[in-house]
Amino acid sequence: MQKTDRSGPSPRLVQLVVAVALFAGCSLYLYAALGFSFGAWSNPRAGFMPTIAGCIGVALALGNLLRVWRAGDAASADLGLSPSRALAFLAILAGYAALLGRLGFLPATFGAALALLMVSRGMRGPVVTLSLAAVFSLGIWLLFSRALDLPLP
Amino acid sequence: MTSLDALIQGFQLAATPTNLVAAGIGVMLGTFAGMLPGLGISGTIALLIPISFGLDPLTALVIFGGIYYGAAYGGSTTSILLNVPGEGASVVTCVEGYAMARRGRAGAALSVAALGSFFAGMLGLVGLVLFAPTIAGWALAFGPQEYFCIALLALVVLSGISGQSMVQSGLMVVVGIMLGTIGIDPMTGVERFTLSSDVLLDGISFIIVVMGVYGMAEVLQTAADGDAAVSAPRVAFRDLYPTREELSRSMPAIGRGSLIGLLIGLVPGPSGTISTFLSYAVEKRLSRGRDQFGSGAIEGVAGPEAANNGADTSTLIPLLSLGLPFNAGAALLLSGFLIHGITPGPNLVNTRPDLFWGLVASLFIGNLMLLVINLPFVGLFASLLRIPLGILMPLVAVVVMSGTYFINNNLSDLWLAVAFGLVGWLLKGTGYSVAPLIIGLFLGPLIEKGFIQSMVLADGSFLTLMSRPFSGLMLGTAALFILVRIGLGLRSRFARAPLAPTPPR
Repeated sequence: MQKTDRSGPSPRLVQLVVAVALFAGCSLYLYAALGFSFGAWSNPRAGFMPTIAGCIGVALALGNLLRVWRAGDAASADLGLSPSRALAFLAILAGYAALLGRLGFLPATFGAALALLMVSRGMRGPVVTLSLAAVFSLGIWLLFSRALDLPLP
Repeated sequence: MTSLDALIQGFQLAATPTNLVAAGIGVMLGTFAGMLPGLGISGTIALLIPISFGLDPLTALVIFGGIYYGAAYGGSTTSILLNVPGEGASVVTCVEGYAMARRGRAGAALSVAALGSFFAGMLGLVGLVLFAPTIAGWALAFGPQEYFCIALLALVVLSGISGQSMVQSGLMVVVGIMLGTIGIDPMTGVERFTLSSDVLLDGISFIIVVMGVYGMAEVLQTAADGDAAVSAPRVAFRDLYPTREELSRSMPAIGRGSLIGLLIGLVPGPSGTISTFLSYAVEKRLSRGRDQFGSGAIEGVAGPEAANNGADTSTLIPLLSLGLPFNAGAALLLSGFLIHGITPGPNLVNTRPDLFWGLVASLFIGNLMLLVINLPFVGLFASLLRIPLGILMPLVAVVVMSGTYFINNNLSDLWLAVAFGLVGWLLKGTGYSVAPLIIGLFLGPLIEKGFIQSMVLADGSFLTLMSRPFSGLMLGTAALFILVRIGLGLRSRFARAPLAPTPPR
C-alpha cells in the first residue's frame, strides 16, 4: 500500500464521536428494554436482563463520555495513516456482500479482489494486479467448490 | 478407563496421516498469519477459521490446535525479528528478543522461544489431561447458580484487568451482554431488539461478531496503516543453536515461566500478557544474567515466552471442562469449535470422549509440530514477511468474507461482518479492547439463563447463590475483587492529589 500523509478527522474528534455513539446506543437500548416486562425477582421476564444491562451500560457510557471529554486522551487513538483507505475497503466489501448473490461467487470475488488490490496498490502494475486477482479468485473458487465441496452462492 | 488410556485412544484418532498433514498445515499457516505485524493470536484464528470449512470435525480440531500454537509462536518471531509486538503478551519479548537480534543472536532467541513455548505447552497439556476431566466431572453436578457465579466472576475479573480503564472494559463487557440479548429470548420466547428483521431473530452469531471485530477489523486497520516497510534479518539454520551457556541460563527461566503461565492461565482475563510481565519481573530478580536485562538477556525471552504459551494452554482447562472462555484467544478457539458443531464443556468430556481426547491429542501434536516444523523453516517464515501487505490484505479480506458466508450459507451474515468490522476498527482505533466485548457476548446469555433459573428455583431468594459452597466462593471472590479494585483506585487517586496549598499568613 502506498504511504500517505495522515488524513481524515482528528483522533480526538473520532474518540468523542465513538464515545457519544456508545452513549447513544446504550440509551436507545435501555429505552427499548423498558418496553419489555421486567417481571419480579422470583419470576424474571424478557426485560429483566436487558433493563439491568441497559442501566449499567448507560451509566458506564456516560462515565466514559465524561472521561473522554475531560481527559482528551488523543494519544491512544490511532485509526492509521489513511483512514479513507480503510473506508474504501469497507465500501468494496459492502459491495461484495451486495453482489455475491447476484453475480455468483467467481465474478464477484474477482471483482472484489481486483478493486481491493487497486485501492491498496494504486495503479501500479495493472497487469500484475489483474493477474493476481484472477489467480487468487480462481484459486479460492477451486478450494471452496472443488476441494472442500462447499455450496457456493 | 483412565485418562492415559483415553489419551492413547485420542492419539489413535488424531494421529492419522490426514490429521498429521492438517496439523502441519495449521502450524505453518498459524505461524505465518501470526507473524503479520499487529495481528496477534486472536486475529490469526479469526482469519484462518475459513480454512477448516468442509473438513471432518476432528481434522478441523487438529488444524485449530496447530493454528493456536503456530499463531502464538508467529507473534514471538515478529517481536524478535522486527520489534513489533503482535499483542500485549509479546511486548517483553520485543525488549530482550530484539536486543538479542541486534547483537546477531536472533536465531538463538527464536530457538529458545520455541523451546520455552514447547515445554510450557507440554506442561499445560499435562495439566489439561490431569485436571480437565476431573473438573468436567464436578461440573456435571453444577446447577445454574454455579454457572451464573463462575460467568459473573469471569466478567468482573475481565473488566478489572483487561489493560484499559475499568469504565472502558466494563462498558465493552456490557455492550457484549447487550448484543447477546438480541433475538428470541430462550426463556420466554419473546422477540427482543430484532427491529422486526428475520435476520436478527436467531440472535447475532458469536462467530460472525468474532470474524468482524477481529478478522475484518484487522484488515481495515492494516489497510489504513499503509504498507509498512519490513526488513527482517536473515536467519540461517546454523544460527539457531543457542550456546551452552545460553541454554543453561534459559532452562530455569523456562521452568519458572511455565509454572507462572500454568497458574495465571486459569484466571479470567488477558492471562498471556499478565503472565509474561510477571515472568519478566521474576527473571529480572532471579536470573543469573539480570545485569543484561534491557540489552538482550536470554532469560527475558525464555521465561516470558514459556509463560505466554503455558497460559495459552492452561486457559484451555476451563474452556474444555466448563465451556467457558476466559480470554479472547480461547473465545476465538471456541468459535472455531462451534462452527463444527462441537460445544466444549462437561458434556463434551462425558458424552463425546472421542472428540475431547482427540482434541487433546491434536494439541499435543500441534505443539510438537511447532518445534519440528517451525525451527527449520524459520528463515523461510522470516522471508515471507517481505510480501507486501498491500497484496496480502486484500486477498485476506476476500477470504474472511467468503468464510463468513460459509458459516451459515447466509448472505445477510456478510453485512453483519462488514458492520462489525467497522465497529471493531473504530473501537480498537480509539483505545477500546474488543476482547471484553467478545467474552461478554458469549457469557451474557449464560449469566441471564443462570440467574433467571436460580431465581425461579429459589423463589427470588438471593441466598441461593451464597448457600451453595462453590457458587458462594465464586461470588465472594467477585465481591472481593471489586472491593480491592475500588480500594486500589482510591489509593492511587489520593496519592496523585496535590497537597492543599498553605494559606498565606
